Amino acid sequence: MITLTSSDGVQFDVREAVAKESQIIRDMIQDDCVITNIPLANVNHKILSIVLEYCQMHVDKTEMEVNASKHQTTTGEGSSSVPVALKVSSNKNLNDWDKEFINVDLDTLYDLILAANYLNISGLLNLTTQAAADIIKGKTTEEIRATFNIKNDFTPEEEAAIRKENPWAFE
Amino acid sequence: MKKMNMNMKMKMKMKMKMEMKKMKEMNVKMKMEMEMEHLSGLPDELVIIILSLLPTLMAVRTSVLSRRFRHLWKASPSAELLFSGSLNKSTYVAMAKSLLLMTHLLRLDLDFDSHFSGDQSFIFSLPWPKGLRHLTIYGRGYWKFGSILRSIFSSCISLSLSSRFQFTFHL
Repeated sequence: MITLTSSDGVQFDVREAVAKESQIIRDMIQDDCVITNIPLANVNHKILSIVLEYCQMHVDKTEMEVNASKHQTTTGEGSSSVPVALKVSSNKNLNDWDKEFINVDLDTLYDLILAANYLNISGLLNLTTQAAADIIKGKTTEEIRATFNIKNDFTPEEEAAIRKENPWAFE
Repeated sequence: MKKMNMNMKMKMKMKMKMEMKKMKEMNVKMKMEMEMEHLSGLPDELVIIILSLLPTLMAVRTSVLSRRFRHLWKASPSAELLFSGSLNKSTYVAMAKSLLLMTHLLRLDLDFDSHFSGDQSFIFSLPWPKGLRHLTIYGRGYWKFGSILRSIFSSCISLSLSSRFQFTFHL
């Protein structure tokens, strides 16, 4: 077990495999194998608990798959169809679970992107940045500004000039 | 004397209450400002990841959001120009030229096929970036130019030229 401490002092005891979903923690553990308590200065307890929920789920699913494939190799050809089906359904479940998991408000999404980047969890970074891109997709310039509170600091003339640079993008 | 003291105390209390109220208001204001951050609060590297997940046209459009977003889309490592609709050849060439100015472009997909036939040798005069690693061109008859293209795109590790058949070169 490894203890992760959030920026606001809350401790989380997690299995080493779960903590190691984070590349930065994996590196720390490899460099110093007696490390048991890791303070995370940039993640508060609310976000850390969500991040750990993600890591826990992905470790559990991966282990389930490994067990299923082991089962497949030890039981021989005859019963191989069952574990394959199990694997397919677990993959599908994981995608569904991810989709449900990332259905959060913008503030949380923003914090999750920062945390995934800081902890270097590539799966979570892909998932969160894709979710942000999906929110932008299909929105007009004004809608994007409103959704993400982006202040238009161009003069109307400047904005028109930029549109003229790549007129094809705005047609 | 006692009465005065009482008055003073009352006044002090009132003053403290006012101060507390002010501080509370300030806190609320600060919190609102922090919530205003959202996407704009992410560092450039993370915004660039999000922009690179958008369809290229959508990414180009983000240049008018604000000064900060003016050039961010150009740092995306990949772009695609899938050609459909009623654009004329000169517009398409202008689009391709703009995308080739993206300084960190590693992967580019161009679809010339659906629109123009005839002379397609203009693609040799485009300002191809030196660092391009993956290029896919969908178009009629490009396989004929294979050897020339290969010499132009010597940096590419994969170069696909597709017409009705797929031609792939690994360089």
